[in-house]
Amino acid sequence: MTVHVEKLGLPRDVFVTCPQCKKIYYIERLFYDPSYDHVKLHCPFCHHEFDKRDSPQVWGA
Amino acid sequence: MKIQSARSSTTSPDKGIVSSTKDLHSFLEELEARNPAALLRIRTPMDTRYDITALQRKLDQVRRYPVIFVEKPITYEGKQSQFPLVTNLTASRELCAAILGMDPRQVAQQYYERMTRRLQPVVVDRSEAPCKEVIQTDKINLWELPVTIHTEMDPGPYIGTSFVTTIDPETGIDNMALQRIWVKSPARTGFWPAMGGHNWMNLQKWWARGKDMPVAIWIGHHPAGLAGAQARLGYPESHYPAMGGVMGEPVRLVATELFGDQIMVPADAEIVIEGYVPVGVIEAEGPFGEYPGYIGPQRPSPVIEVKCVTRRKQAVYHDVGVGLADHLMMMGNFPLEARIYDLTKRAIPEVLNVYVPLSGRRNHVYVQIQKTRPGIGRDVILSALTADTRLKHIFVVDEDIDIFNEEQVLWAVAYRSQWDKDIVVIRDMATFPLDPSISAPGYTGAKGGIDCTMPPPLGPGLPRPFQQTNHPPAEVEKRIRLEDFVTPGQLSKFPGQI
Repeated sequence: MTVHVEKLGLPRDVFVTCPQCKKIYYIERLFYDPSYDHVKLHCPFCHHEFDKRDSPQVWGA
Repeated sequence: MKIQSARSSTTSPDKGIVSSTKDLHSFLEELEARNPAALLRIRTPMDTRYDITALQRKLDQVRRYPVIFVEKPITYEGKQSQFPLVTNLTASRELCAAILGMDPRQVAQQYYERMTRRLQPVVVDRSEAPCKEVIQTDKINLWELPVTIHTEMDPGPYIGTSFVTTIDPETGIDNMALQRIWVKSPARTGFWPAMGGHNWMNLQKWWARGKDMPVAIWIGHHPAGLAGAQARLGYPESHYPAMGGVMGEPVRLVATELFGDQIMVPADAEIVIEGYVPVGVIEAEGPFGEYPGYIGPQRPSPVIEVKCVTRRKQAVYHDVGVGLADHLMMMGNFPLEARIYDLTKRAIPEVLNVYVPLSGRRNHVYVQIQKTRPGIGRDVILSALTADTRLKHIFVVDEDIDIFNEEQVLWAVAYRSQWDKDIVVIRDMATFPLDPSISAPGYTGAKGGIDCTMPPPLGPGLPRPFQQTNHPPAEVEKRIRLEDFVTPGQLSKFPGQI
């Protein structure tokens, strides 16, 4: 399903959940570009590094 | 702690004796001597983790902008730093203009004139460079510096005053830009060169050659130097001559430890960090609360591996209130105003003045013109938009509108524009990615402006075909004086407006 948000259309930011501390923050959609597929996310709250596929919940991807 | 300057002089083969009179120490010393009320000293320990920025925000909310000097900052590691911290150095338009010897209402013209009087830098020996008093190549720990965490969700301490200096590998010409640096670990930082910026262009070239990009980051200088370093220039073009022009004296440069004269840095800087941007290495950077007032998302970005730090013995760490007037005013808006003034004035000589207001956080520009002929309001909009990718909405007003008074600008919008005729909208222009209202992927967005000017005069010496504004006869306006009826004490107690 294509994401569509009022005013933005396709949003630039994707909301992810840290698998360790469960807090939510947002990342640039560019992380879903194949050239950045290997880049680990860094939780700004608990500093846990994780693969975006391990995020328990994702919004806007 | 007393602020002491380390003034020095040196000899240049082509310039004779060149004395350095301007650095951060000399500025603070002069400020404290001449205008002590403009300096807020914090003598008790203060945490760099949010507290300093929170104080700045409180002051910003009441529109007061002293230079803040924290004598005992507590670092990210919870230790008292050996380096004091100064911030809010470039927050007040009045103070910033005074530092530059400019009229705060004429910065666009005066900064432009100063910037165009390029002064070639002079090279000094490292023995003459205060920034070489301490040289460290091992046991580097950037967390010993009082690097602040500014905003909730910032993942760690960020240097907001880092002038990141790189070179174009094709020409050898240097470039520098004020860019955020996340101190991720003692000798490794995040680095986000926004797409289209000149450091980003240099990085593409180094990486296309399969090579790590050399980089030197300098922190702390006389605020006039910082304003000049931010001059909006072409590519590739060294910033040092313009920096000298704005500062009013040649910048003293010294070779870096790692790269020699390939990358030069200001000898009078407080701290210099040298390292490499390793080819192809991308890590998560951010989120980070940026100048628009929004926390930008985490982004895939390069990193810097730090190999050397040089500094003054008594270095002062310069911080900036990211997203506050301190961040926007002198190190951003002043050079922008000059750039817009230059471009628009060349195309439309009727341009009188330019102001980039704090409220628009670099997205808005107010341009004042003398409307002599039809259509030039729209021409100004198109011309101004090309000055910088950050610019989004241009408001063009007449000469009777005070562009430094936003009530007057909005009054012009309200009564001198019809949006079906006076709005210019251009879709898909290159934009700066920090605007959260832009759709994915975020490289382009809509820009435009409003022509809020009255029609031009019907002919030479004839009136403008527009209703006149309310005012009493000039004689009455001059004769009735407030002070003849009201004392200053009474005035301050009268009901006001929110």
